[in-house]
Amino acid sequence: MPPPPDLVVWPSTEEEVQAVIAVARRRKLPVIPYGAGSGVCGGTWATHGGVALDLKRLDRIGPVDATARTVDAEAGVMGETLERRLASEGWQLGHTPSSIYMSTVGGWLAARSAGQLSSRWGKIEDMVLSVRAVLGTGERLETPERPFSGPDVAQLLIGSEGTLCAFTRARLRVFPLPEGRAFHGYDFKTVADGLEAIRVMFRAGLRPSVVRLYDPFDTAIVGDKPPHVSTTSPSQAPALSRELLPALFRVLAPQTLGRPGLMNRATHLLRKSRLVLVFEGEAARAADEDAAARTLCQRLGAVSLGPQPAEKWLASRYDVSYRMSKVFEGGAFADTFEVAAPWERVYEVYQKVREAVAAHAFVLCHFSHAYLEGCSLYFSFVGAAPLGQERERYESIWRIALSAAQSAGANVSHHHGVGLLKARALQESLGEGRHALKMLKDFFDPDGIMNPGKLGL
Amino acid sequence: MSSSELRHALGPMCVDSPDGLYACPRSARELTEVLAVLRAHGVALGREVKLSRGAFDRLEAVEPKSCTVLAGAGLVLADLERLLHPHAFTLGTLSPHALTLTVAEFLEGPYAGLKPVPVGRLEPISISLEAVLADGRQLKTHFSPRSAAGPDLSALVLGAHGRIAVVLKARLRCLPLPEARQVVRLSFPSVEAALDGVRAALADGCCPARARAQKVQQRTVLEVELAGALDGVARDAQSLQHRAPTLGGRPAGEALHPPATPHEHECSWPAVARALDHGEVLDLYRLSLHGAIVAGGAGGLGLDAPARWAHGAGLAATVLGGPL
Amino acid sequence: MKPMEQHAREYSFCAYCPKVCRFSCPVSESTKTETTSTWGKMTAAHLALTHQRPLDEGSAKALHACTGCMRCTEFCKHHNQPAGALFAARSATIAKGLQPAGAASTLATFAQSQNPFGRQLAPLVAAWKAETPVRYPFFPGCTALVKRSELIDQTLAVASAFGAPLGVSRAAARCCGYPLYAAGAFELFQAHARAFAETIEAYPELVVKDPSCAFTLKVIYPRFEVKMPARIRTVYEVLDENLPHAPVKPPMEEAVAYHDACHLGRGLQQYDEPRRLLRRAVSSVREAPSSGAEGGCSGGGGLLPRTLQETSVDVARRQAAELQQDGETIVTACPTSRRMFERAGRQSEDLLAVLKRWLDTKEGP
Ligand SMILES: Cc1cc2nc3c(=O)[nH]c(=O)nc-3n(C[C@H](O)[C@H](O)[C@H](O)COP(=O)(O)OP(=O)(O)OC[C@H]3O[C@@H](n4cnc5c(N)ncnc54)[C@H](O)[C@@H]3O)c2cc1C
Ligand code: SF4
Ligand code: SF4
Repeated sequence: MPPPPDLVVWPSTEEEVQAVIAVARRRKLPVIPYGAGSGVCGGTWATHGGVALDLKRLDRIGPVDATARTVDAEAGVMGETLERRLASEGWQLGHTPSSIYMSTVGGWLAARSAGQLSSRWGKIEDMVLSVRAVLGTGERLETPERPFSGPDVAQLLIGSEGTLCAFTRARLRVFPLPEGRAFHGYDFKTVADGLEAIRVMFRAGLRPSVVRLYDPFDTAIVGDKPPHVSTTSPSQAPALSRELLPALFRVLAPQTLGRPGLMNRATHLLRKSRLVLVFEGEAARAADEDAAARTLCQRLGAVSLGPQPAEKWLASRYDVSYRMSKVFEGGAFADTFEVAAPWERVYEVYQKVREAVAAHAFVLCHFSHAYLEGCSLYFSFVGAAPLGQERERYESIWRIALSAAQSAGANVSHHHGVGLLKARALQESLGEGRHALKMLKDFFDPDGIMNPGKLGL
Repeated sequence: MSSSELRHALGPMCVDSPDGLYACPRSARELTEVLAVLRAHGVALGREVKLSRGAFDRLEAVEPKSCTVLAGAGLVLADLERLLHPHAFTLGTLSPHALTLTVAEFLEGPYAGLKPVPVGRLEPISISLEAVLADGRQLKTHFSPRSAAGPDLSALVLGAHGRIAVVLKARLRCLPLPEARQVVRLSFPSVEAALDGVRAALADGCCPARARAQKVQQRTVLEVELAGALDGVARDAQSLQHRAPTLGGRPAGEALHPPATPHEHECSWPAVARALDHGEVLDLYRLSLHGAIVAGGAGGLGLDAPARWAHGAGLAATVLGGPL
Repeated sequence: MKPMEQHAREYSFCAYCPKVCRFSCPVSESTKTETTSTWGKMTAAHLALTHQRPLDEGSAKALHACTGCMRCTEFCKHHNQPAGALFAARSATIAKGLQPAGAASTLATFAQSQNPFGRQLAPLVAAWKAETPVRYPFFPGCTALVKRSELIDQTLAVASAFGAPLGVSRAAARCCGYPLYAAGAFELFQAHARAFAETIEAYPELVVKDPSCAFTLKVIYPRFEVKMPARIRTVYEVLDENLPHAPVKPPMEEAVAYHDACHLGRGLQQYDEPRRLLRRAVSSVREAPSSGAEGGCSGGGGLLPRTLQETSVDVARRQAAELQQDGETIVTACPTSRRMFERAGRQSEDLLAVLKRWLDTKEGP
């Protein structure tokens, strides 16, 4: 169980945030900014006790400035609430992380989040014009909008995961709701071919909003069946699926997932790699970009599957978040980890991580969030261990995977952040640069009260 | 302290020019040494001793797959651009003044090293960089397209006028050399309509190389230059032509004359609108939804000379305040 | 713990879930606490059922922080039904004497008068005697009977004008028992439901005004294995069916915002019927950013106004803010929702009242 804070506070205004931080400074109490708690790196764990600063009551959304194409949203606004409000006025942020139902604007800023449509609309740091925050010094800060002279302090605060400041508000770029969308799925003979297609596509100036290439095993899991939508509550389900199957899973999980080597080897038999693309925006342009992408993919030997796989993806794009319950309930463990690398390194990172983790957990990967220069790799691993050894196995998988990824040329995180989980990896990867991070810490939070321990600070 | 004492302390790492004393480190280690000497003597880099990054003038590596190059901070961008052409790369369309700057000046100065990317966004041209902090420690950021591994430490360099850290090398994001160029000339019933048209096209994904604009009689003429892949240019032209009529735009005939003054400013869109309303001819570069780099008589952030920091000055002075 | 056992898997799904439906719960969107999020409440139940943490006053309070709106279910791929599961968990709070005061007093009132208002309903029902032949027996629900008798007049008038005359049924003298269900008094509820079913054996069908009553009779009774002898329909279904017989006149030049009552919408899937009726009567119907199956809640269900009064009013205030862009009147088919909006200081009108006003408008020259 994560260590609990000593108390939780719910400020409703920036002044109240300031007051809390002032008291905490005087008393040298840790302050742990808290959005919706969807972070997956232990960023909100109160390892040193202190005050959990829940920012969700800062939940005001300003009107859209249609000329400047911006909206002001407070840090505690939940993602889905914001997108719905914008959509009702014909706009979108285009930021749709899988956690959109359970994450906040402040949490996005704090962890440099990426939405599923980031390949076109950007990550959160690309959408921010300015931020308002209360620093660890207790001072309030509003960063300027371009044009301005001097360093972009917003970019020094974004990604700080509560260690430098508490975000209170952001001015964000909005886009008109897409007039049209073009969907397409392809099967490539190999992962490498699929990666090359994405690279060439970006080189040719195409910017799909969704780019997801599934490795052969993920492709097999994604499958062709339409997404399953349950209409019966688990308590009303027939006994077979309510009791027998979960019990069977609990018995089988340690025997199969506990010995992943065999399953991972079996995946060598699979080759096909599925690419899902969505182009969106002005309708004719989206269709045109889709046609251009088709030519490129087919040149690289892809089989076009038509719009269905991408439409299916859209319909079930948040489903994976729900799968956790079944895995955990069955006594297994699952986690995901994501990194980014330039095109020169992407395939090697993929191979090295798979090889490293294969003996310990069942591993799959997809590639998404693409750029002209590279892309992100998103690994999922599922495993099981004898009772009492789960944590040890889980932690060793993390160590092994991260070190394999980094030695092959990946960074520490593309969009989940660092928190506690990757703190050591971050510090190591920064080398001497960690002093720059520490200097920022000393400047913005001289008493070290803000979220101690996270990012290794 | 006399300049001869300093010169002596810096030894071969400095050059005494008619313009004053220049520290000319050839490596990060040497720069660290220079900084240590200056610190020991209580001298600030940039005042008594200027910094030359002339030794960092090489194109060190070209990464064909990620379309990036590793360049020394002392390289002049126009020269770098020429070096890139044999590799079929370009830095994209930079403004005339930006092309005269070194990589370091472009990154550290008011241009903040930003370049436009589709849907009207900006991103640093440097994907990663190697710099030396005021205290002499090195800062190397990771070569990856985006990161969530803590704050973006390259922001200590970009636009910071070298007061927090000094960049020595940068890996720059390039573009493939354009296959085609096309100029689309449109006229709109008002300045607002013309600029709305630009913003709409940018949001659609159109990424112009540059544009020229002027109010001609009652209409505002916009001349947009597109560059890139053959079908990309056609798509961008279509985007413009698609948006224009909804804002009262129609094809325009005559080419505009260049602006009277070459001075460059970074302008918000309202500042661009004001200048056009005053009858200025403007050349627009680095077009984004934030605004543009404008050559011609527009008000904004002056790019020709270093400006005072609007904010964050305390950051350099208090925390990192060393000899930079 | 008995009623809880049936929901064991739902509790554990939620406890292991990364709170996917987090934004949808109107209660935690008001309080902003994790404890009152669907995940928090269901985890409290999971921990209690699996003996990992005993029920205490705090968790009992959390289990009562649910309006039963079912919005979370719409965002749950397991189709978990926290509303029912949490009401079941409330039973354990009764057993342990940990029921919040508001819920306990509701049960006490109900024990006395067999309805949550502590009033005798039979004399109120007797006040409505149909003078002319009626087509359907009408069940207004105790809220209308006790607090909003004008609604009954309006409904009867509109139904007649639509060619589907209603007459207040004797069966209306009995509450459907929803408060017992929401309080987690499941045994009492089942007994009450059986008795209710017996009293209406003589009726072929009942037309129900209050969405919560209709939902209870149609959906919850069968879950407690109580078979309803009569066909249960809402007044909105019946009026919609008779729309072709409604007077032909232009809609009033008004802009309103429509609030989907949870029990009518998610409970009975009636989204279009009330909208079709409303569009007949007014010229503009605004939809909130979330509406229909995903629409917000007014905070009136699940005994929330009794257990967390301020929160329930805040839930209503928030939903009103979602609905009203330019101060439009909020129209709803649910008397409880309307009361909640009024308590939140917002202008609100019942759908039947709007229809009646429309019928009363004089046609232009
Ligand atoms: C199922 C699932 C799917 C996910 N999918 C994605 C995805 O697609 N893309 C993605 O980017 N992430 C994803 N995440 C990760 C997570 O949702 C993001 O990191 C998100 O940005 C966290 O937001 P939050 O509001 O929940 O923050 P929290 O979890 O509450 O906090 C995260 C960190 O930010 C800090 N913090 C929170 N609010 C503030 C504030 N206002 N000021 C300063 N610091 C603050 C906290 O101290 C903590 O260090 C997923 C998580 C889950 C569980
Ligand atoms: S109801 Fe469904 S989505 Fe919500 S917490 Fe429970 S399992 Fe998760
Ligand atoms: S039923 Fe409604 S109030 Fe209850 S937990 Fe679900 S969303 Fe919240």
